This record gives sequence, structure tokens and C-alpha cells, in this order.
Amino acid sequence: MDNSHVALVSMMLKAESFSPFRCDRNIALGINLSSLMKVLRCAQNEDILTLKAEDAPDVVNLVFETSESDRLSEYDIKLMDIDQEHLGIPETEYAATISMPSSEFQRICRDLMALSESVAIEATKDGVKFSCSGDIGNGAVTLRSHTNVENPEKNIDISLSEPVALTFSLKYLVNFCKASGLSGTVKLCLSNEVPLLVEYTLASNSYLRFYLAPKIGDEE
Amino acid sequence: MKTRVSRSAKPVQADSVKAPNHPTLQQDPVKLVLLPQSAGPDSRMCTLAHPSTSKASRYYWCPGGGLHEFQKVKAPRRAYRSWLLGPGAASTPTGLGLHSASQPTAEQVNRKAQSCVVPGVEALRKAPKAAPFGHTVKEADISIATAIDVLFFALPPLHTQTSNNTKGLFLSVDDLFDTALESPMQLKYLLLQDALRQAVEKRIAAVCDDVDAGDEKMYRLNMDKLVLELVAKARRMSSSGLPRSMEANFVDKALEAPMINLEREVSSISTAATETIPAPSASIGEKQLTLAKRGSNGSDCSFHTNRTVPDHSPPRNVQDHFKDLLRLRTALSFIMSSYLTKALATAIQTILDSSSSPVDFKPLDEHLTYLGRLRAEALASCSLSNISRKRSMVDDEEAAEAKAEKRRKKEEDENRQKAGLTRGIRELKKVDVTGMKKMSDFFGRKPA
Repeated sequence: MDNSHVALVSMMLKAESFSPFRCDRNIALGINLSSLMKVLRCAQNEDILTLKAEDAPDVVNLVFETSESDRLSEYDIKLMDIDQEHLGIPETEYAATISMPSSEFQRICRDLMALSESVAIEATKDGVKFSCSGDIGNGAVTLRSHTNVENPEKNIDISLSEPVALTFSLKYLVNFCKASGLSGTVKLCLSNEVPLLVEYTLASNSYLRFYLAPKIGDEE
Repeated sequence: MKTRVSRSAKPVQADSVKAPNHPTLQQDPVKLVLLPQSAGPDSRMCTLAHPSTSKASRYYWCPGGGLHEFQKVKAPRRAYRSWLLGPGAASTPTGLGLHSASQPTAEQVNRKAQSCVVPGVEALRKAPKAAPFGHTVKEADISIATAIDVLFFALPPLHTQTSNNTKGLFLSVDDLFDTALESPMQLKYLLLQDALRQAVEKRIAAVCDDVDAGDEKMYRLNMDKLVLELVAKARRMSSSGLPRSMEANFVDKALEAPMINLEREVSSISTAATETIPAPSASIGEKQLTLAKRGSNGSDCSFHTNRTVPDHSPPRNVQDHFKDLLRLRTALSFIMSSYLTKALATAIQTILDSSSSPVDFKPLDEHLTYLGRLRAEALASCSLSNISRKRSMVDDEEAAEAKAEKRRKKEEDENRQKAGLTRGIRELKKVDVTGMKKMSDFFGRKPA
């Protein structure tokens, strides 16, 4: 969760993503993100990463192997107690699910960000409309279902059980869009009165999910 | 003063050789003393009560020149370290002092060597009867005998007599000193000398009412006469100018108007008008002063300082008048503080402050208060212009410290927090999250 507790990140890396993968029992490792970032910066693109933790650990061990030069670097990151609540996120049936190229979503957010701090997302059977209004004026982007036969990644798919209209903070969305590099498509799931789910699907059933609470009250 | 020099040893009554049981005398350093020209064989060193402190002090009496006190002139710190008294041409023997009765041993002859010297020249020429070798004096200080009015010695007894008896008894000179002086003081014995006695009586007569009682005259202190006498003394002292340090400290400094970046606007008085005002007090009264704080522009300030201050300060003759008055008062207070007892000085001060004072110091007082006010205003305006930047020392030292401590802590906290935060998180802090519910409102706690 972020500091204001209005957004939540959840990333799932399935066991298939690892080779080998071994986990004897469930264990939670509290890692300071900026520490993790510092250590990860020590890795190179094609390095093989091994994550290790003992039973009742106080450090997590990262090993970077550079196969072509037989370089091996090893780091320990001290663990921290995360006394944050572990929220259980139920699988929800969303009223509207939109999947689109992640670059398209990134562009919309970036463009609208220039006008306003928040965006209203309206999903109807005609399409989905991202609109905002700010000091200098207002703007809107509307997407319709679209199928690109040659390049299925560019498909825009809207499935809707009932119309939804919600407002979100663009700054958070722009931050979510930084994950665009991880996946070519992004899935937005909306229901009234429920956080927006932004999901980037990763290889082998893994995913990166962002949740963002809608703005209620000053909807226009 | 005199060009005569006598190295009269201070331990006069004792000859160090003859009194070896007197340890201090051996160690007593030889002192160099400048005696008056009138010093003769009848001159004496004597111990008298100091007129102000009534401590036993050394004085020099010579029948021709009167009573002298010794003023010690300290040697300059670095310049002259000691005196060399060398053999030289003869001069008239003087300065025999009280020790002349003792048998001159070789050393004493040496000590009594009479020499002639131009002040400031270290080499002294010795009398022929002195030993033919030179003599060094370790301490470079020099004591100079300067004339002192015998009146001052008569005043304490005179004053105590009159103040003790409210009616004010008339007393003869003998009674006066008999009752007043304790045995170690030698004035009583000196009074046996006619010359001194006449001098004392003459001086006493100048400040006293007197009555004839048979062949003797009886005296009673008259304060008004005394004040007149003191004022005359002070006049004499100030007329030829005060010593430079006194002038600088008590006269020039006191009359200095504050030089500040204030514009004094004399609204009703032109320069011509000021000149025609006869009394200094009048010019003060009419002065309308407004203080105008100048802007922060420095050149502007200095311009006004240069132009306005000389224009509107009191005219020269008025200033001179103030100066003379202040000089007179400085001289008076010097005399009172150095030669009068405290009680007497207060009594005289009251007379001087009253309307019956022979000199009217009121305009001076008014001028000084006016200057004081100007100074205070200048100070106030200075601190006013700085008020935004300066804190008063008194209350804030601790507070400032506490504040600094707090700030340091806060900064530390911030730094620590910043170190744990990424840029993205910091930026998200600025996001407006009003109307957004917390995640925990949507998602329940995960069952453990």
C-alpha cells in the first residue's frame, strides 16, 4: 500500500516463473523496497537471479550470476518487520473489464494528466470514455472495442455487465503505467464503489496488480 | 614645578643601617621624588590624615612653599625601566626631610645625594659630598610634590565640629585640631611652627565666620563661604583647561550629540533665529525635534547626517558656554571627590544643586538631559530598524537553543524518512486523496 493507503500493489510470480523453485513452507519476508532496488541495480540484464531465505531468516540473499563471464555477486538484504495489515483481496466479479495495449493506457493517462489531476472513466456499451476537466479546459478519450487481426496485442476488448462510471487520481494511474514495460496489454477492471484493478499479465500466469480507490463525492 | 630632585628615601624616620631590626626598611626601595624649589633646610616630610579618606599619608611641608602632597607618576609600561642617578655637578642641598637628624652613613650620604635634573632625563648629577659612584633606582616611578591647600586638612575637623553641634560652636584653631586629630597625625605638631599655623589660620578664616575672643580668634565653618571658595578653586583649575584625559572623558564625551542617520527638523527655528536666542535654555526649549527614520539607502542616510546635524546643533557660543560650565563642574567634582570627606561633599552638592548656588548649572543639566534623550532616541531608532533581524539577548538564548535543537531533530527525521522513500512515493504524497477511501475499507483483513 502507499502511504495514504488508497492504492495497493500486488505482484504474483508463480512457481513456474522460477527454475528451480523450492519452498518448504509459507514464509513472509519483509523487504524494504528501496533497499531491494539498490541491490537490484547491481544486477545486469542477462544475469541469473537466485533468491534465498533460510527458515526464520533475518536476511534475504540475492545472487547474480553472469553466465558468460562467470561473474558471481552475492548480496544480503536485512529483512524488516512489516506490521502492515495483510489485506485479503477477494476475487471479484467486475462490472466492466477493459483490456487494451498498455502503451495506449499509458498515453491516455499521460495526455490527460496535462489537464487535470483526476480522470473519470465511463464504461458503457458504446465504449469506454476517459474524460477530465481542469483549469485550462477539458479533454476526453473514447475507446471502442477493436480487433486487430494481425497483431492481437493491439486488441481492445470491452466486456460489460452493467455501465460503470468512476473517477480516479491520474497521478496514481500514471505511476501504475510505469509497469507498461512488463507487459504489452493491460486489463482495467471496474465496478461501482469498488477499487479499480489495473492488471499487467506476466509470463506463466504471473501478474502485477494495482488497486486504486475511486474518488467519491466530487464526481462531475 | 621644580627642577630640583631629591632622592629622599621614604623611610624617613629610620635609617636602614641603624635599624636592622626593621626588616621592611631594608627592602623598601629607594624612591625618586621631585621637590619644590622652595624646599629648604626647614622642610619636613610629615604624615597627615588624608583630607578625604583620613588615611595616614605622606606630605611635604616647606615653610616657603606651603604644604605639598605627592603625586606618583607611573612609569610608562615599556619605556623606562629604572633610574640611573649619576655623579655630577653640585647644586644647593635641599630636601633634607625628617631624616636629616640622623648620622649620615655612607649609604645615607648616597641617598641624600642632591642632584639637578631636567625632568625626563635619566642621568642625575650628584652633589659633591655624595659618593663618587652612581646609583640606580629600580622603580621608574617618580613622585612629584605638588602644592596642596592646607584648608583641606582643616575642613574635616571644622565640618565635624559644626555638624555635631547644630548651633555651630565657634572654636579656636588649637581646639579644632586638638579634638580632631589623633596622635599619629602630625598636624598638631606642625602647627607649632608659626608659618604653618599662620597659613592654616588664614585659610580657615577664608571659609569661616569668626569672632574675637580675647587675643584668640574663634572660627565656625560657613558653608556658603566654603562653596564660594571651592568654586573659585574649580574656576582656576578649569580656566587654563582641564587635563586632556579629563576633558575628553567628562566634557567632550558628555556634550557629544549622537551622530546617527536621523534627520532633525527644526520646524520653528531658522539658523538666524537660533543665533538671536539669548539663553541656552531658551534655545533648548524651543527646539522642535522630529525624528525621521531614513530609508535603508545608505548614501541617503549619510547625506542627511552630514547636512542636517551641523546645521541645527546649538550655535558655537552656546556650546562654548556649556563646555565651560561642564568643565567647571568636572573640576568641582574632582576637588570634592579627592579632597573632601563624603559627608562634606554631599553637603556641598546640596548647596550647589539648590537655587542659592553661586553657579547656575541648570542650563547645563537641561542640555545634558536633552542630549541624553537624543541618544536614547538614536538608540531606539537603531534597534527599531534592526528589530526584524535581532533578538534581544535576554529572553531568547534558551528559546533559540531549544528551537535550533527542534529544527535539527526535524531535519534529521526528514532526512531519515527521505532516505527510505523513493521519488515516486514522495511525489505521491502531494496527490490530493480527498474522497478516496482506504484500501482497508474495501478489502478485509486476510485471515491468518
